[in-house]
Amino acid sequence: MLSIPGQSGATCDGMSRRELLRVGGAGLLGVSLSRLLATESMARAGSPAAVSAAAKLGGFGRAKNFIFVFLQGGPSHLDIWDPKPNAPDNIRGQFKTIPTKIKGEYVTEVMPNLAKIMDKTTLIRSVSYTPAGLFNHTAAIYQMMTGYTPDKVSPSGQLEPPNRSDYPCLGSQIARLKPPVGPMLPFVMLPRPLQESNVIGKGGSAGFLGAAADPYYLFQDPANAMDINDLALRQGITAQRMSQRATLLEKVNAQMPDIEKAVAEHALNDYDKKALELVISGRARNAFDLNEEKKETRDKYGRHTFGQSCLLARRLIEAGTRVVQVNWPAVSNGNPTIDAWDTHAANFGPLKDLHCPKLDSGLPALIEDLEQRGMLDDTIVLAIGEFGRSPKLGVSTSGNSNGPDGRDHWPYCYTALMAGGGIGRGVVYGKSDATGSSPAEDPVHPTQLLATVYHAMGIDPHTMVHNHLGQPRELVQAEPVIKLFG
Amino acid sequence: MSNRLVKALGIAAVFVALIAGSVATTFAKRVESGEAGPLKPPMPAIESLRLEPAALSLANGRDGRQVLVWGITKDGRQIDLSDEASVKGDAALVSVVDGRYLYPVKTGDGIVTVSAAGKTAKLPVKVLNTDRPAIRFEKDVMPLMASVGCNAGTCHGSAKGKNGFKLSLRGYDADHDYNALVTDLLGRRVNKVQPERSLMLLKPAGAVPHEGGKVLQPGTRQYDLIVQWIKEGVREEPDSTTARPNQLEVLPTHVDLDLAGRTQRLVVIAKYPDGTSRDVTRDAVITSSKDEVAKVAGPVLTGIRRGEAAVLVRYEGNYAAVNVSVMGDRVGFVWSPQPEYNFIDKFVNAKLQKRKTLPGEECTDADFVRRAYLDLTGLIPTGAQARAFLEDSSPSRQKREALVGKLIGGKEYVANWSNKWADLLQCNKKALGDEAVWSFREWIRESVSQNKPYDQFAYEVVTAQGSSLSHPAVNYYRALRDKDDNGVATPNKMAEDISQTFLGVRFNCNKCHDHPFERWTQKQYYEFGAFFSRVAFKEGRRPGEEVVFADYRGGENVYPKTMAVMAPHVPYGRQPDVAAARFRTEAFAHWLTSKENPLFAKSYVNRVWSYFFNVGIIDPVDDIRASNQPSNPELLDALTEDFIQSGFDVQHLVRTIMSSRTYQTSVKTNRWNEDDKINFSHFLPRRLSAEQMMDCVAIATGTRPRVPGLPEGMRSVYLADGLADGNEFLKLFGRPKRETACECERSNNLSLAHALSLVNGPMISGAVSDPGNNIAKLVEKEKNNWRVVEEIYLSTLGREPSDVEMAGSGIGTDPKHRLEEAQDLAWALLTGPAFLFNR
Repeated sequence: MLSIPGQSGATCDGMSRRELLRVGGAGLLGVSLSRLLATESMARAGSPAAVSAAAKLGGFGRAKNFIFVFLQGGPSHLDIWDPKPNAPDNIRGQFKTIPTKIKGEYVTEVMPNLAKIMDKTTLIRSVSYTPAGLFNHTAAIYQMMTGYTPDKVSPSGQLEPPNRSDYPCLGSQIARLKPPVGPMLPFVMLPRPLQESNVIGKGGSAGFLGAAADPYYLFQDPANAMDINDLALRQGITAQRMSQRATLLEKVNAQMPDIEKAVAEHALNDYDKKALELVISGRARNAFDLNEEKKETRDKYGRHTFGQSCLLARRLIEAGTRVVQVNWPAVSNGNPTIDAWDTHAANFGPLKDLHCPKLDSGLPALIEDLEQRGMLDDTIVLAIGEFGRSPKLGVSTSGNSNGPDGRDHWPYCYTALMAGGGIGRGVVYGKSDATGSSPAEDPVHPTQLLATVYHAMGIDPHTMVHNHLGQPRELVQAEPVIKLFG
Repeated sequence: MSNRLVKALGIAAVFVALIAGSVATTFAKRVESGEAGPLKPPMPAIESLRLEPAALSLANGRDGRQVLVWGITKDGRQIDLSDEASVKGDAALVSVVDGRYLYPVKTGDGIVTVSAAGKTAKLPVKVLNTDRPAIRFEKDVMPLMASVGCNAGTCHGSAKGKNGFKLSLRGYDADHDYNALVTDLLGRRVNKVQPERSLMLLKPAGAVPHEGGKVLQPGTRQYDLIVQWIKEGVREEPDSTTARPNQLEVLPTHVDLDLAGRTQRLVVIAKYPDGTSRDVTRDAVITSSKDEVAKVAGPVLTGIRRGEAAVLVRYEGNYAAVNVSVMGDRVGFVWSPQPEYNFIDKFVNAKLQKRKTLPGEECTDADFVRRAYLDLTGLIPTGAQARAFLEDSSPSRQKREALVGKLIGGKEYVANWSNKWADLLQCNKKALGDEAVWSFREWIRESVSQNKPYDQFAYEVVTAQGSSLSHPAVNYYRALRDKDDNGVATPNKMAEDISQTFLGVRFNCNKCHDHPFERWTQKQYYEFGAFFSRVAFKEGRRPGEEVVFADYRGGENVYPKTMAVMAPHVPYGRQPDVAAARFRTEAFAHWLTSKENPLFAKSYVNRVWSYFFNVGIIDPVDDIRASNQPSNPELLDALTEDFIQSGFDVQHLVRTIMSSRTYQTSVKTNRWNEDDKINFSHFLPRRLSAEQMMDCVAIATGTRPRVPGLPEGMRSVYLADGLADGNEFLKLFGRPKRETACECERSNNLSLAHALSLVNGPMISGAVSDPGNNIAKLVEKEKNNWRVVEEIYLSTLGREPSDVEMAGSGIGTDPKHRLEEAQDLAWALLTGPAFLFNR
């Protein structure tokens, strides 16, 4: 599914027909048909066999925790971690390349810190899929989060808000199947919920699992002073009094069964219970207190929303949270003054001055810090966007208009970074072609990355969960990429 | 009988029971999950057949038609037997294709025999002509391409086409598509010498690689028709009035399935402006609004589970919707006559009876007083107000109406209802500035306070011109200012948001192409926008002042496809007389607010209804379209008519709704209504809005609200801006920024973050422990614990405690702990669902 602007028959951007055909076909490689069929038959065969088969494969259950760094907006893979210095001007871009800790592998000059820690990570340069439906962020984000494509985009064109028939996001599934030990927030989303075109939270909720499995959304900026008093016992209230309150609350509610029944779907009681446990234990309050970190550590992560969110992610995992998702803070369409990845216009200046310095402080610092604390072995990290960006500058691939120095959406080939939880160290997996347009080797569908994370967490990706109608649904209809495990 | 035999029989019986049990579970599971589709339920005895239509007349050699075959049961129900019926005709007169379509063989009259379920029926058939008319592109070929999916948004209909071949989305532009097929690519897509070698056939047939797969097989009706079209010389339609239908008729007009698993066939007839018609069932695109209730496969739909859905039928820019009701097993249901307080109840009950749903019982006076205060004023009653109402000994209905009469139009009512309008009219500081945001908010308050007729209110907003400070209504246009990618002012946001706000129609899909699920065209979007293209802005002299001009002559709206300047045209109804009006927005406002406008009053009535019932009769309330059908059209029409008759009197509408028995139904469900969420058989609890929560905690505890951005003691609904700085609580609980026309901008969900804020945040905990609050005063003054508990219940929940609640209040006699214990009780009541929901 490749779309090129201009009149039918003419490719006025100058791309040749041969090129077109090559790229157009590449998307299909993302998930081969045989693989899909194998997945289906495995699912049909029933889970016991599938579980044991999965368990035999490498890497199963190596990770205990998961940090999902979601680079919403679609970062330009060519300008960050899959440079093409020998490609033509209108593809190559403006950044020079620099060597990395992996011999013979390069990233761009705007990612010097990443270059230094690549001996701890796996870079996957062949992530690829062909959109089945509307070519927009929401559908792509929904797929990245849930493993499924949205069944409906509002017929009126406006994006449908999240609802309880949505597929659950990865984090909610994991936190539900592997709840934390002790009272701690199971799944935290930082610094705010997903948001796209005024619709908040699509793809980033527990969907049909019900409200109680939704992530804890921070709604605050960790780079500023945070109000975390909700998480600490208030002055003058002892833990004992709070426990008495909790008991009283249950007792009072029990006298109003009709109201209880009428509001059951909102899961308020479950939330209240969890909230009270958290407050009484005090663990969460401490985890959110970034002032307990050394100044140098905070500086290293970068004194900005993304960097401090990464640091907070590590603190939360340390305190017992199962999954932390860090959403890239800025969302905007082609606004060069905002560090949003959706660079339809002005791709280079902002990337160099705004986006990448932040990405290059937060993400490498997180990996290094996890490593130094001995947490990288059982914490799997995935950093990825919902797609990459068009290799060719100034062309429209999505129907959006683009500036001459902008790049449009490109799901056919882009890059993901993984680390920890048994994932290989110092590896580049897969390869893109000469222009970063399609995978040349080992294509990986984004749903396979979800399957890989489940697998690492000791969860069979084909585990059936039941939706709001009682219908069995697989966590994800894809196979893990076993070769990613070192 | 020997013991051994008894034992053996016993074991056998257990086995039988086990097997029967597992079969039953499998069946139940299968029906429940709806995965493979529910099993076909047993067919009741059929007494006779009925055909619809009762006779057929075939106009030409290509005119293939079918009938629906209904089986009539003894008790008069009709069940669709079309798919098992056999059709036998006189082969000399007609031929039967696919077992159901009758095609002419020779001119004349005759009888065709239809049989099913052991019964037969006679179908008179008249063949008028056997000539085969020439195949035309727009009339014959384009519908095939739509039904195969060539011009779908995911294929060649996408904005940039696919692999160099672009068709207009769902075929809205016949000229473009004809050229794309016949002229572009040097005409390689059609091969007039060897039609079968045409690229437009080789591709979809899979004879050359086609990413979209094999979608058109040789030998099929569609394939042969395209071959024939090419043979005949790829004709376009000479007469554009006969190319496209102007109406779709679908049989049956509504679908009632008694049980899951039952099927229903649809017949789609397209009617053309020249009076002709034809059966287009095979080429119409048919979709279900709720696959979990009814699934569609081609023209046959299957009931999946109890519920209601709409089936949308689309054919060549025409749309029809058919309501589907799946009843499911209701054995044991008995309807009993229900109290009716006004016309609302009549329509609600009619629908409930039809759906075999029993309305809930009436809510208590304590429920009502809380509900009425919240819905009218946005506040809960104080303890004293609740007590006064409960102790009033007049008949319940009478005192409830009196309470509504007392609150409606009062200061707190005005504050609450102007806050709703401030949301909808996007009253926010970012767009309007510090000064104008207040003047606009005050203008809204004044309008609500006067109970300004709704048509006048809308008229004033839409025709506003002048200074942002002295003519505050102009601020709506200021909030809707918009620029395109090149920084040039466009009226797009005005057109879209005015349409969504005042008509409930999302008129934005058709900015880029014809609306895929509605009759709106792309051109109409720009014609509609032309009403607002002359609204212009200029900086004023005073600080924060801007002047809005309604008639800047340089403002024209251009249709990007043709670059033509668009004259202002409305998308439906009688065109307003632009020449006679002072300026375009005035002409528009006349049309908008007219009693004849079918959507103006209706969309607002529906919106107001949703404020009381959580869901609209059409829901979402601002997404009215053919595929989003009202759950109770008769009710909506009656309310609309009543609203217009009252002179667009909003308070009258509110009073009518609140006087109904439907509004006064309890949240408590019964066996026969617990699955209902759309027919108003029981009250659906709504989480309090952010502002309500904040203001109600203050009322319940007797503390003064401290809202950042407002003087101490002022209610949060008075905030002029959307999300004023520092209001983290309001933000978390979903107060909107007021930057869109969508009701959905306000959220009312609950999550762990909300729970943390409730159980431990400063809002509730702070109010409860405030040393100057009512709890402290009460404990100090009142030595009798019984009275303390009663007051706390009254001021938080608007009712007295039960004996059990009294006994379990946790307030003891030790004077050292009484205050703490009273605070804890208040905390528990404020944190629980009985307080947090309007119920």
